[in-house]
Amino acid sequence: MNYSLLVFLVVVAYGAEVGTQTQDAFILAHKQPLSTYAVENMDFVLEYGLYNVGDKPAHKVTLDDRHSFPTNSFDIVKGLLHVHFEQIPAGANVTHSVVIRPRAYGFFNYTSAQVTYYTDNENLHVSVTNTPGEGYIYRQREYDRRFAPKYTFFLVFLALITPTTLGSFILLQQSKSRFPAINKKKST
Amino acid sequence: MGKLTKEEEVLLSSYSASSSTKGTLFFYANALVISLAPIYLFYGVHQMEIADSWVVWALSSISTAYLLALACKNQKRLLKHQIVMKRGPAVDREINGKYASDKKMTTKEKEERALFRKNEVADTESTYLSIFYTNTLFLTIMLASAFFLLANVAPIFNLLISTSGSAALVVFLSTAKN
Repeated sequence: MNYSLLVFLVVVAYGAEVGTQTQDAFILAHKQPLSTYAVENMDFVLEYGLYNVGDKPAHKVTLDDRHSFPTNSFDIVKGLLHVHFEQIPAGANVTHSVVIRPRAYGFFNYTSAQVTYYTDNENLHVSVTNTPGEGYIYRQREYDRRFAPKYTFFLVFLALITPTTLGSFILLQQSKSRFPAINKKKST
Repeated sequence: MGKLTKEEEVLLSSYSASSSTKGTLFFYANALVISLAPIYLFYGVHQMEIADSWVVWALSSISTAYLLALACKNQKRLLKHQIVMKRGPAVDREINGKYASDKKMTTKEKEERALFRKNEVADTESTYLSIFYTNTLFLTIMLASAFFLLANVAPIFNLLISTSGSAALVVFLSTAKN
């Protein structure tokens, strides 16, 4: 009885070990924005990461994100939305970044990018990255209002308060200076 | 003689607590500008939007303007007497010098003219000084509370407390010395 239990345990453990082992290439992919705020007409940086967690190299890896950023709403400033890597060795990773520039403001749904690769020469695998989800693209004016330096407002404020405050002080000094000489003579 | 009575009337009115119309107008114009300036800061720096907060702005600016004008008037009343005492001898000398050659004028008449002139000088000087004093005091308290003490309070409460509150404090300070 005890022996049969032990054998059963060994079999199950082996089975589990085999189940978790990946013999082939296996790519995990992520997509994430590096910029905190998306603003119209300002650069927005995206990063893609490909991790080969399998035991064999992945071949002819392509990363395609062209469908996420239609060119009527986004300019591509730097980088490619469709890239090709000949091979990603086992356990290696690749990061790829793209700089885009939103043309309009409002809510935008960031969808996933598509990754394809061959484990062998025939077996084509298609997978997708995570989806960053819905994000807000700020209006340029809104963004400036929130984050631009505020010293101009203080300058205008100073300009507003100066005429009466400083003006009255100067007039007071003028009036004072008209009298003190005689005043001094009197007091001494 | 008639002319003198008129002067006497002016003299009397200038001695009364109420300030001249010109001075009052100046007070209100100044108070309006000084109460509107912080609102611009709140619009720009604390990001209050016109559409959302114009009611609060109106409330704040009206109450602040009224309080500041009141503070200026109080302050002026306090200062005027002091300035009359300070400038008195100098004004006397000026009047004496001016009418020294005028033999027709009696000493009494000269004294009255000097008194009138003293009041005039004290009135304008106290107007300027009260505006300068009230403005600097109000703006210092307002800026300190809006950007240091209440920097993290919701903008609406920050605005109301730092503008109307400091104006009320300035009024209080202008009456406390009485």
